Amino acid sequence: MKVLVPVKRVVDYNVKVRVKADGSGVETANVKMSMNPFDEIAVEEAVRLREKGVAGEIVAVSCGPNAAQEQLRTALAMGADRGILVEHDGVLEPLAVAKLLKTIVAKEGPALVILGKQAIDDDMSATGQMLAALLGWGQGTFASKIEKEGESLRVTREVDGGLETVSLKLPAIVTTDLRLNEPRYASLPNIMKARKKPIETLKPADLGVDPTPRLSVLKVEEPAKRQAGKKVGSVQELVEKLRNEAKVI
Amino acid sequence: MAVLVLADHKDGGITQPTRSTVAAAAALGDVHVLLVGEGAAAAAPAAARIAGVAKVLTGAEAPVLAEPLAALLVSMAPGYSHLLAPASASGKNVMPRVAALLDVQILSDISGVVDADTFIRPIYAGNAMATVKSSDAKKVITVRAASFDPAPAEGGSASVEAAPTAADPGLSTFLGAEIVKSERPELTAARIVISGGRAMASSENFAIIEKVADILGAAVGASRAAVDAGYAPNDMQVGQTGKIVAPELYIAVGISGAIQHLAGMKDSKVIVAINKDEEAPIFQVADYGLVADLFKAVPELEAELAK
Amino acid sequence: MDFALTPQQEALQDAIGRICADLGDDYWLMRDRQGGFPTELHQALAKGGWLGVCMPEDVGGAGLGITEAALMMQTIAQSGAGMSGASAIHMNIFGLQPVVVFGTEEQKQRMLPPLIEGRERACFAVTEPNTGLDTTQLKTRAERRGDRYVVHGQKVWISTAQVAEKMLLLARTTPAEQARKRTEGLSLFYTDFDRSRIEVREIEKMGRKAVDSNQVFIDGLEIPVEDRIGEEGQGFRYILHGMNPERILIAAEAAGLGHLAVSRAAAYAKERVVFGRPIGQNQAIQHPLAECWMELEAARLMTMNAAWRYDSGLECGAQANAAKYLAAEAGFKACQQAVMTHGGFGYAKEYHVERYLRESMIPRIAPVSPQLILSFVAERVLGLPKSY
Repeated sequence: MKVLVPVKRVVDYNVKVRVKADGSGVETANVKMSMNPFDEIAVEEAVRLREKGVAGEIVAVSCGPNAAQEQLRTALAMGADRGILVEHDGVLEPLAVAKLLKTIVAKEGPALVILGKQAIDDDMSATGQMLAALLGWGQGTFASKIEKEGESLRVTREVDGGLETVSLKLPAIVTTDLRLNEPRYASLPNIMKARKKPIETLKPADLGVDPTPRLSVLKVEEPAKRQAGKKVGSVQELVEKLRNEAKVI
Repeated sequence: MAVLVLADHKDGGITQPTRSTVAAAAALGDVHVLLVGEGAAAAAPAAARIAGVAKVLTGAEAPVLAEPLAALLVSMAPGYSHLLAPASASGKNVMPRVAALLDVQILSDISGVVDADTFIRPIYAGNAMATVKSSDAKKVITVRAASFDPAPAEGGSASVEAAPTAADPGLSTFLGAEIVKSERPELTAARIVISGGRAMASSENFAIIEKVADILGAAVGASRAAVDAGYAPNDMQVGQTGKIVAPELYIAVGISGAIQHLAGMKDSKVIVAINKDEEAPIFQVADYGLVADLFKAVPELEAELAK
Repeated sequence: MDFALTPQQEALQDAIGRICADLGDDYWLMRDRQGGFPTELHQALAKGGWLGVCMPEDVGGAGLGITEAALMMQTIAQSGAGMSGASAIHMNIFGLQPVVVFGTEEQKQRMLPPLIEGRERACFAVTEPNTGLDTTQLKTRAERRGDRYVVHGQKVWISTAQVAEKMLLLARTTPAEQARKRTEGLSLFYTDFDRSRIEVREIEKMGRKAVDSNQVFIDGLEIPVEDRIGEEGQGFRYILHGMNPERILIAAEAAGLGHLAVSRAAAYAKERVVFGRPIGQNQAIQHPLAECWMELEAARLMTMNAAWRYDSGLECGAQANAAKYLAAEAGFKACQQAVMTHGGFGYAKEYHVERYLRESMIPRIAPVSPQLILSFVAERVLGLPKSY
């Protein structure tokens, strides 16, 4: 079955972001950008499914600026076969991305779309579920295990308090949680091969989608700073302070 | 117009994050609470007693699945200006689906309500707070419970009625759940949380933290590093991609304080850090820091608290 | 003139960086204390196909150039592995270039894939106790006896001889008096490291304990004729081929080590508070580090220039030698500055910078001394008379 994997270009996991002085957003100029870590897990899962003989062609798709081609190349170097860039500068909210992906799904006809559970920049945790809604497909979110069983997908999900297992009719949407797998490093032969794999570029207008955001950002601020407290010299002093000063025990 | 809160419930009780969601919702309109899933009817009296709840609706007693639940919420949406849920695994699973079906952009994990259209939410693992205004006529929201003091569990006297039914689109089947049974309070609801990091060095060693938790009536959490190393199960993880908690007291044991962990606990009222590395970033946010070997300090703490 | 890295080169740096990130400071500290070849790094790179970066595609390599190899080596050193990581890999990436250029098809197919796959490691046996820079005067002799050569002699400073499975050996097959030219009479072999005929004695060194350096005593080693690379007597010419690329790679490693040291020092200077302010706020701390950064970057760019020239088939001797000189000196200076920036803690092993300083002497000394490079540039670039 064909698998579609959307990947997002985000500020690298290790970067400590700074809020712009004018409060209009976060400083992203000259900052290291990478593939969203949950999306790497999604690509890895697609490649593992292919290695098991379950998945066939893997198509990576990214909605974002032209530079997102780098993330598509990373996906190709991990094992995806083709890339699609839906090029758009400016904010793309999960709803808009879901609408764009819906048109790509109509073109490509995958049986499974695997997405990261959330993007580490906006932390919305919404695109997969929204795409499932627009397509009228079942959704297995926060997946820690995926197995194909006949024409269904058995998905183990991480939920509050433990794990839950659901069966989804294919075609379906899955969003990845952290412990689904550990993504492979791109090997040199695959990086070389990735250069020759095609990347198609489209625009939202080509797909008939209006990407205008519904949310306007009025301001972005740093969270209230916590003051560093004091060091205590012993367990006895700690307990005394917690009892008599902070009064929490 | 009224606002609808999709509740999480367990064993006949309403979760504290749900009560925080009710508190957030109260600013927006009359609060109706929807209970679905196994045990919904049994939890209705508790829901009706929450201060500020005007009406409780109970739905099907079947295991909760996103697709039929989203269909139900969409069918009920015309009567509400805002639909909210706690940002629990359940809320985060279903609400975006609802939003897309209503063609609105979801507001995930809000930590503040400015007005009926304007909300504050954390981005970049809580390293920045965005104030956003929604142009959608209907708002679909998940609520970061740790940011809202929960509505009191008593004081309300809401009516209880049956929720409308909605067809199950038949896209998924519930196969089972492995929920960890524990005597301890739930992490997101506990008044006190004590968490262990990778320095715990084994899952057996978590027992020394558990002894302190038992004395304090606390929940036990873990850093991602500890979970990844296999010292604790994933549902104990506190952090950006785990649970967000804001207890009265958070004790971080052998946790260095990576940004991603801080994102999960920095709104705690009082933070204590025990770490043998005095340069560990956790000391930057701790109200009280003890530079000590946890394998000595934690048993000492247990002894001192028992006095 | 486009100085930008191609997307493929960026992907390469990123991928290598990730592999190296798995082996943290604690690992390299442990390797420096205990010794032991960093098999973890070698195998991880082999698995990703990285050892074949410069090898031809028909033997399983990627067919890329010295530019990509230099980026790879800089990234390894800079990741925290320093020379301990870089030297472990270095020989396997480029050392067998003579086989690629002058070997037969049979030899290439036999010798190169196991190296690229990480199943075999090779050491480079050229230097002798009495023959350092004056290579053509080496004495180890290989006598032809029917279908084999029998070798007697000594080599020194042979890295990885404790663990290598193969040896690239330069030995004299025609006595010096009988050779037509000074540069003829030496032959190149790539053969099994037969430990029943080779004694290896490790040399305790100032640093880089993970990559052993050795005295090697060869006593009647038998090498089949099939293991001779190219023509008898032409060996020196063959290894000359690899000398400029080797200088380029060492330069990249030295620059990486220097940048690593500077970044550690800068990080420390931000955190360490003395007299109520971070020490990095003092010009006497920040200015020397800034100067080091500039010198390292200049050296690195010279290295990239030399690499580009080599890959483009242009003369690159002056640039390759200059890059080695500049990067080694800048790297050493940066490592010294890093120790001083750390104050007392710079002297402690657990802060790592003292290890970098000890390692930074290697690219200054090897593979050619700074003085020989200066003479080379004086003669070949400036046209001044040879001084020795």
